[in-house]
Amino acid sequence: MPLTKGYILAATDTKMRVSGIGARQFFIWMGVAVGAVALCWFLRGDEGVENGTINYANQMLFLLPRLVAGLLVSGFTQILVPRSVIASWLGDKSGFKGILVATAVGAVSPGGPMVAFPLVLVLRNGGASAASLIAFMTAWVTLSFHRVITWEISLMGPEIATVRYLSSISLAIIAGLLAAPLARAIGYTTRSVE
Amino acid sequence: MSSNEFFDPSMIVLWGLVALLAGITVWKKGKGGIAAGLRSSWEMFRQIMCVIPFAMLVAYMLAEVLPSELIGGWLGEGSGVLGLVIASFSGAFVPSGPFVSFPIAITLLHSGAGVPQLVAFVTGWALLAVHRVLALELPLMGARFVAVRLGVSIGLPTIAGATAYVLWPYLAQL
Repeated sequence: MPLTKGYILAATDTKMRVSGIGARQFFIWMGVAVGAVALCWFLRGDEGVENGTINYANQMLFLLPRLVAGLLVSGFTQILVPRSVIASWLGDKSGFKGILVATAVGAVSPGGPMVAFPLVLVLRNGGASAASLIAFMTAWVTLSFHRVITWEISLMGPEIATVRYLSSISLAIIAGLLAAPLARAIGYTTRSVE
Repeated sequence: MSSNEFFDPSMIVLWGLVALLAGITVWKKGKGGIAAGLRSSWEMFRQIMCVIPFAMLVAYMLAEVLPSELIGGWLGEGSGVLGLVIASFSGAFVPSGPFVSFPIAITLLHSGAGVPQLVAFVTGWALLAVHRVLALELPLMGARFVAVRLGVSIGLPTIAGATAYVLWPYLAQL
């Protein structure tokens, strides 16, 4: 599979604007939050708002130190595992071995969809099979280590985060195995550019 | 849930991991690597903090308001396979990133949803998210690729929920 240096460089250089969360989202969400408090007070009175606020404060106290740790893990992982390295790991493996490698690489890859999609695009243009691409994407969204650390442990607690993670281990492999026959049936070929 | 304990083992594991990765970053990439990592973390933190304090407040206020009998009936522990399927496809229609989907998941949990259903919901959001398919995947990857990926993924959130159904009783005891 000709995953040339040019493709790897393109993957590294593709800069996409990270989803622009800023002042606008801040004010929109502040408005929604005020609305939610008002709704709660209207339907449940002082007691409802009090209960909600106590639970909220406890959750934020639990969340913040873990969220900060999770974001530091994300930040350092991005420095240690740049996109060019991921592209070279996925390289030219195919078949079941390719699916397993793609699953493992997806699990350690940093970044969200804005990082994932340009990379997947470049891998596809480099000739990666539907099976490895889909196994990789599935692992990226369900097994991504940094996402579990940043979001799930902070927000849902370690027990639920663990059961969620364990329940998803088989998914990327199932997706990869099903992808090849379905791609044939639908008529997706590795080099088809639509 | 023991998640209200401020210092549980997850805190030690997380900050231990931060120290470990910071060490490796200094070793491999020097002080510049640490600075770049911190910049990237700070940028994520700044963006998240624009939304998450409010989204969480909304989640906890709605948890007070939502009728728990209703949510417990549709998505509770006893809602069976139908509950897992409903949760999977509800997740697909959350129109945003983790800072919205996880607060919604928490609202559902506090309103009587079961943990396996929550797993199906979160997995449905991760794998099938309609907004992400329309905004990114379809234009970048083309219709046939999207058809193949969604075709193989459509049952996966329910499988994850069913697996959680088997595993959760063991983990909940810990």
